[in-house]
Amino acid sequence: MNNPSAEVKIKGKKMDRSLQQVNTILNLAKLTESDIKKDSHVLQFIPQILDSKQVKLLEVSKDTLEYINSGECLFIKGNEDAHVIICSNSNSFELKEAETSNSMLLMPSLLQGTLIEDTGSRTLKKQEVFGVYHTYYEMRLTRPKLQSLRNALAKYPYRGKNSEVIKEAVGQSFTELKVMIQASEEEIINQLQEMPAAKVRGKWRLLDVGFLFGWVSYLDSILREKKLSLEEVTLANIENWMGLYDTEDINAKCISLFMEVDGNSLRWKPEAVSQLFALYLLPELRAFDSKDFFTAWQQSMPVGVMTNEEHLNGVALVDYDSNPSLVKYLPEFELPEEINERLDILFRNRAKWTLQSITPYVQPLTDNNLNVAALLTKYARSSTINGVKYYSSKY
Amino acid sequence: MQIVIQSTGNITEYSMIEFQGDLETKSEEALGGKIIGDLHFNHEGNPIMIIGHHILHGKVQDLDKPLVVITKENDGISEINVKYGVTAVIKRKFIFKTRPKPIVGEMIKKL
Repeated sequence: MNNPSAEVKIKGKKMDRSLQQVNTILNLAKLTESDIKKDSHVLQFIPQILDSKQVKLLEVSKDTLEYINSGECLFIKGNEDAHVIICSNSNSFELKEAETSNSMLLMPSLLQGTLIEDTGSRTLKKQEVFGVYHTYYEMRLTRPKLQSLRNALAKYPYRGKNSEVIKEAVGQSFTELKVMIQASEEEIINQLQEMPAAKVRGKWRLLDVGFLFGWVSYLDSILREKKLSLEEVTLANIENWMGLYDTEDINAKCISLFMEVDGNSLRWKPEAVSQLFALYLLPELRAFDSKDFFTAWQQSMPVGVMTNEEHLNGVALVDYDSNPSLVKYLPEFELPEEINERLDILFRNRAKWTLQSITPYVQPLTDNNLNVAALLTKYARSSTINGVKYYSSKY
Repeated sequence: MQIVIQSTGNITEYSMIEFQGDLETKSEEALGGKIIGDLHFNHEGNPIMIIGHHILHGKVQDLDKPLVVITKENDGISEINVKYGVTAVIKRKFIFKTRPKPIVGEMIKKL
């Protein structure tokens, strides 16, 4: 028979709790043993409870849990501003601390409890509690902050193999970029592929606009000399002709930036080339007489490539209200990443925008939660004039 | 600066009890080693908790989104490369949403 006041030692710590005591309390609570199941548990904190500075709780989606179980890493990337980003290999999330007025007791599965007493009809187990928490961290899918990537790569722009002065390789290694940029590895790789950036001697750098302009113009001059159009030549021809101009890697990057390659048939990408030429011509004079600009612009283009005012979207604004009308240099990548700051600059440059013209400036700021139209609805004002919808400043 | 979070290769499943309010000890002592209370289950499988002179009735609930427990791995060397290991996952909790009911009686042992 159990001695009601028996003390049972658990791992050297005295557990002065017995089934009789537990049952007494139960009865005082107006419950009887027949109201409850056989196993009762005494909850007890471990001697040294968990320190929330060392041990934290992170809420994850079921997909992320699977990702973690497969051994993959999550990366928390802080920055000077308040935004803390946490990334998997492919996605970026905002990391937010959630506070609750509830207490959360952390403990192992109830099956882990150690037996204190067993009368046959009832058992009493000790259930360890590791600690108490009031906060946990949440992950919210977000758009990665990539402007810092361009800024990092622009520190040492590549101007061609013959312009390389410094002996050591300059630029950022991919490993450095992974730590520095608040984005996932996949998002960084995709961005590097899309942007005019290349790896030179193992380090990533931005390709200088002047260099790219020179590359395209040089190839165009060869084609003109040979009286050939791009459609009539092969990749091998280009690699051959440009082989002396720059390295294989750089040439390959330029081809991918400015040409459509379909098997062995090649075409210039009109938008990419037009934008490049506009980016080259405009910065000299921030605002260009638009007639002069459009003429110079078209004249400088490779044979067969037609400019289109729409190609200026995201690069420059045509202001028809001024006299003479002007083309103003306003590249997307120079604008702030914060939505209100960006819209402020856009609306100061032009009061009313159509969706089509503002999209390239707003698109990079979208994420899973808000697309361009939703962002504009939230942060700008819309009006309809002659059946056309325009966006303007909210203020 | 980057903090890496990775599974330790050995993720156990933990449990959790959630209830309104805070736990207090008699004289503001540390919580370590203290007995919190008793946990029972009624025949419907719902948890019942007795803490101090309160009784709480709760439910077993699956978490919409699991919680993982991450533990700082102190290599002691640098603050630059901080690593946390994922040591446990919580998929279910015993949640006590109702207000605790006081237990009245002469012989209540304050814990």
